[in-house]
Amino acid sequence: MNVLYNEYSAILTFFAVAFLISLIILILSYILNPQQSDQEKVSAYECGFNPFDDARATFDVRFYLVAILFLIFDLEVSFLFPWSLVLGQLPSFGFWSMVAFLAILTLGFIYEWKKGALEWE
Amino acid sequence: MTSTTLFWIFSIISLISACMVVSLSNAVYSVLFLIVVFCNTASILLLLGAEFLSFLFLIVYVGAIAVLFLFVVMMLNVKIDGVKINYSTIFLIGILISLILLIQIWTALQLDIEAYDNIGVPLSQNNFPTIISWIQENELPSNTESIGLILYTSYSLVFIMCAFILLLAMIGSIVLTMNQRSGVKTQQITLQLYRNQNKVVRFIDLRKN
Amino acid sequence: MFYNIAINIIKVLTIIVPLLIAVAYMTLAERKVMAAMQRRKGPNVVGIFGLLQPLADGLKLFSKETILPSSANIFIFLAAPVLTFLLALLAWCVLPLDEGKVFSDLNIGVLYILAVSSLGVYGIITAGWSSNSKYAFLGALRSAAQMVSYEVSIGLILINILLCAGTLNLTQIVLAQQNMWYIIPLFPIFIMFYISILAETNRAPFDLPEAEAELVAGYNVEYSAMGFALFFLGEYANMILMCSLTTIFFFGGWLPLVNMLPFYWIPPVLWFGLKTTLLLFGFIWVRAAFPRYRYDQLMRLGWKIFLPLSLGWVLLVSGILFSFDWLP
Repeated sequence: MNVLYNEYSAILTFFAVAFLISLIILILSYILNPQQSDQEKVSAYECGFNPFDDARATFDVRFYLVAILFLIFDLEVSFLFPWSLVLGQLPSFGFWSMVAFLAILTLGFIYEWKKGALEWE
Repeated sequence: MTSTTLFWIFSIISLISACMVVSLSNAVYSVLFLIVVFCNTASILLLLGAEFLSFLFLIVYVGAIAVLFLFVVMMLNVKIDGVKINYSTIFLIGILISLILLIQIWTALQLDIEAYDNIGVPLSQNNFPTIISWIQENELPSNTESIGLILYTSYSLVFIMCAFILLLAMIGSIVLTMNQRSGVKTQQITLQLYRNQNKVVRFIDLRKN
Repeated sequence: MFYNIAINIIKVLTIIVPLLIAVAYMTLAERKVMAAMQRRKGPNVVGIFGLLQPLADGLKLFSKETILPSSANIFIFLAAPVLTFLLALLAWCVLPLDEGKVFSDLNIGVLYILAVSSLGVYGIITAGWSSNSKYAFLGALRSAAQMVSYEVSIGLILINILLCAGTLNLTQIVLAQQNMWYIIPLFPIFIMFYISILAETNRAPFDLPEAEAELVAGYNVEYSAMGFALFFLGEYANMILMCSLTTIFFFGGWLPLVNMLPFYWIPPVLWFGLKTTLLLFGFIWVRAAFPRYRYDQLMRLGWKIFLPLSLGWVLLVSGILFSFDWLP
């Protein structure tokens, strides 16, 4: 058995206990209280009116851009993780290759900034 | 719970979830089952001891890519119920492609690849009892460090290629989605922040007018 | 093996139960401190100094009727608060309260915490979408976009800490600060980190997605009773988690101020608690003192100011450490 198993199986136990606790909290309230749902209570909230139409609003492309940018910078951070750990053991070529990586991504970031992809959202 | 049992559990769950991804009609449920597939694959990687890669799956695949899918799918509200699919043609093409994939995998498995244990013994002949060598655990570089030691030096060309792929993704997404409307008045936040208090208000004497 | 599992379950309960009590009293502390800053008294009716107020709040939430909206996807609707609460608890596995007092000493503890906070976005998105209400969905989307934007700067700031410490293990990061806490050389980064975790936990002045006057509590507008309670508990547990992370990364975790005589009589766990409490007080102070950011100002701060700044700091710190050969 890998020595990591002790640590990760402990996390699995934690997951199971926490899941059980949150289920208990949710279900206990459902069981112990009188549930009388009527039509007004379970309709969606829209400041006193009946809901106008289906909840899906028009597609806003800004959320998509934020998600793509987050993906790219998340990948950049994940490339930075091993580098920051082993920098002491790398020759200077390793340092400069990461600087080249960051420079290329900074170029992309400047392009985005100028194009206005980071505006109002 | 030996590693074999856990491997079987994770594999079966990911295979079933993968089937559900392609067969459900509600797109949001498909993405949620895709997240289940990613989580189980990350657990299988953990069983192999590749902890860095496993958490990278969770952070990047589940935390970024599936979020992107979810944003798009939830906002688009695609309804597939009304589409009529001709199952007979699709069935034939599907079987053909699966056969090709099966032949490829079978050919790959015929190759002579030996997996070795930590001390140089082929895994197929390994009958040793499981001993945890604490010196090995402490002295050998961890998964993260071993990736770091070669990625930025021996494979730096691949690494810089990754930078270009990410650059391509950034530029591509902007080219595809941004329509710049000219003449739109936007807020100039730098101008707003640098307004000078003295120059904002002027005193005009109306009596002279 | 079952003996191990039983011991682990007892350890889990030793973490979760005090955490839940801390979260409950954190709500009271917030109300009392904000009240004091606004020159009034907070709740002081229920117990002495209002100390039983969290129990009264819990009882009220417990006794409400659970409303399941008619057009909602029930399974996802109920899974969302459970997911949020679960993830807020899961990250506590790897936090060290003292040398050796950690539930699971992962060698990649920092990555684990980053993964858990990345997954935290899902609770909000699924809650907003499954409520099938325009307000909930819009609030959820904006809240998720905000959390995701500040996660990038949190990740980059963590890289700075890793450069100085040389390990992903949280216990080792604290032990690497024995000579000097990281807040002293990395003070500007601490400020950026503090503001980023304020934005990440959807906390004032960045709480527009759940602002009461505007979006009517945002993504949890359709939740009542225990669903709402789980979101609430999850948010405060997340807050306490982020403050504990700040003490581990910047303030030296359980290390005393100076390793001299009167200071190491105080047990290390108490040092940890003290530093976390001071940071939480800062959270409440910021909520009482500052006006709310507009959403586009918030996103501008995350993408145009914190991202380039933290990237610049990564280059600066790595450059200095590499040239003077001070890397661990």
